[in-house]
Amino acid sequence: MSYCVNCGVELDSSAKKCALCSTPVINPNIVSVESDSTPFSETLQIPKSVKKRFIAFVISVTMLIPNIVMFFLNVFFIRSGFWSVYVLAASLLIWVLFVFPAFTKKTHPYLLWGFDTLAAAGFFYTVFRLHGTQIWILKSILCVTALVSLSVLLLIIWSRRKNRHWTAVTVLVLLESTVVSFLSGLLVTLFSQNHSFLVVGIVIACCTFVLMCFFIYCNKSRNVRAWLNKAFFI
Amino acid sequence: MKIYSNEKKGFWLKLDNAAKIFPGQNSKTWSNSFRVCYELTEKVDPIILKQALTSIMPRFSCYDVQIRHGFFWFYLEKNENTPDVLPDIKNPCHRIKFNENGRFLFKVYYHGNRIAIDVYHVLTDGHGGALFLSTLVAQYLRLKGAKIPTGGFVLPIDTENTSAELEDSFVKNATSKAKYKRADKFVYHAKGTKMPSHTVNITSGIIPFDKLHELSKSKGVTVTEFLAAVMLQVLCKKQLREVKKQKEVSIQIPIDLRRTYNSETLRNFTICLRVKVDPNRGEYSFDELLEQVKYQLRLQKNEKELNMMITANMGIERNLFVRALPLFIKNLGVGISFAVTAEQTTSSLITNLGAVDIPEEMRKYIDKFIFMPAPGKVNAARCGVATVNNNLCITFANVYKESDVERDFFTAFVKMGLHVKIESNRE
Repeated sequence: MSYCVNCGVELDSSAKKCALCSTPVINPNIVSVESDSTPFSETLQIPKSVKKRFIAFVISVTMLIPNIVMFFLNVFFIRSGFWSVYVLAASLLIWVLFVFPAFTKKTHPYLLWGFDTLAAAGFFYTVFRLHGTQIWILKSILCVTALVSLSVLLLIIWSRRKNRHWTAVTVLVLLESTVVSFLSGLLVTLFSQNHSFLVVGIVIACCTFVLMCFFIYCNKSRNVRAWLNKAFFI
Repeated sequence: MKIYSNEKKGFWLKLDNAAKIFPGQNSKTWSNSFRVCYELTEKVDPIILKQALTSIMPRFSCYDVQIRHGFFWFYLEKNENTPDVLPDIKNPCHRIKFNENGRFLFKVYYHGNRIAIDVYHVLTDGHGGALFLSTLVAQYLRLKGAKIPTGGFVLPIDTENTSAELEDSFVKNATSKAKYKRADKFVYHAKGTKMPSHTVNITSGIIPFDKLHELSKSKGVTVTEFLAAVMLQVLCKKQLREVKKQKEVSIQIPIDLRRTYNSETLRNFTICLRVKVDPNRGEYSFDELLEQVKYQLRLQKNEKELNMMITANMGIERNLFVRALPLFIKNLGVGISFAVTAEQTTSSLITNLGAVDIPEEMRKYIDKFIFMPAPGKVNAARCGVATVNNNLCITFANVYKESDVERDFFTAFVKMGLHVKIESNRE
């Protein structure tokens, strides 16, 4: 029979330390006990989790079936153009973006970035090849895709160097959005010779820039944070 | 009186009023289940235990069931499988998945001298669980050669369920015309480091019942009121240590309604009362806490007040709009409301099963009875209390790594001069 010198409670004969304060039990008279005579079992029951790969496989098959059906319908029955290619391209884009990462245990972020960029560029190119007439649209979309992709790559490189706080990540995302919006507006204007795109780009860039400044200010000022909490509590 | 057997073709049961919310609260990591456990004086033989379980199952038609989805409500129907006995696990009240465990909603475990049952709250409450386990243990002892008569919590197994045992007593007793206002504030929750999913820290303290009863009697309160006051004191002190801005501390105390309404049901028939104190009004001494608990609890614990609460609960179930909603929408609503408000209005829970009444011939084979509630989601430590053979066993289920609530609680009794023995699954 052991008592905790700290809590004054009697401890079970199998206890190696006090369950209340973790004070170790030092009692030379205690003989070792079998696991069966401990009050609680040592076996922990943790349910098996459903495998990610299995779910990804089921989703892939579910996505594949309507695509095959539509392809055959397009080839043999409703032969008005290659409309099924739209569905195929969109499905492929969704699959690469959301389902493919689940197939690997830990996908390398650069590999994932490469696949996602290719899938997005491929989707836009396919859609343009089927119905596009003006080459400036294709050029603009591919350039904007490349810009967005580049900014994502920069974010990945920067955040992988060391663990960044979520506030720093938010600031960088807003900064990148500002730059990408402005450059996209500029590029589309160059290709289309329509200045309204530049205006739209500048407006979006200004908004994200203001948002970024406000976020930095809130993050630094405790008073503003307190006022926001007070004024906008739910 | 009608006799019911689930051997009859087409046997099915509606979920009782309290049970209706539990399936909606179910998640991948948590279910509202509780554990009742007998510690015997001898090591348990699993083969005989299995035989005992098989022989008592026909007596408990309402537990020999599986849960099914209807279009509007869940329902229970006869389970054709045979329940199994399993070696005990370190993390009791493990989450219930409806298609596991032969679709049974309870699990029978054995370990060393212990026979335990984890019961999903859809089936019954602590009283029903204790009846089932006591009958199982009595049958186990009979098969081992002991002569155990029926009586108290040990039911005769050669009879069949009566309509009174299978009734939803909430429906029968919801007759109040008064309106009940639910106006509970969000209260204090003890802080701590969460245990990983599917794990729980259990700490049992065994206290001599006669000494505690004497002590509580000298203060003019019941044992439950005394324990609730100790718990309130522990949580108030913990809050003072943790935060500057003090919130109300509230303790949930489930009350068995069987005696009040003369019910024999084997299904859920409890209602949760709350006692609370606001530390902003000043520091409460232990005697003041005892008074607060005593008056608050006794004010709520009368037939008219309880009837009003039951009727309010039944009102939701009887609402035509609610009834017409498909089950998945009801589940979604229950899940969201549980996540947002349920445990937010209580700081902890104390559920006292009271003295487990077993035949005198059975007492010599029994060491103690353990009753453990489901671990909370945000409630730090919830505790269940049960007494048998003068051993009052208080069991905490804690989802936090820290054991300060349990320590403060049990050392309070040590300081009062009571002997406390601790058993735990902590490493």
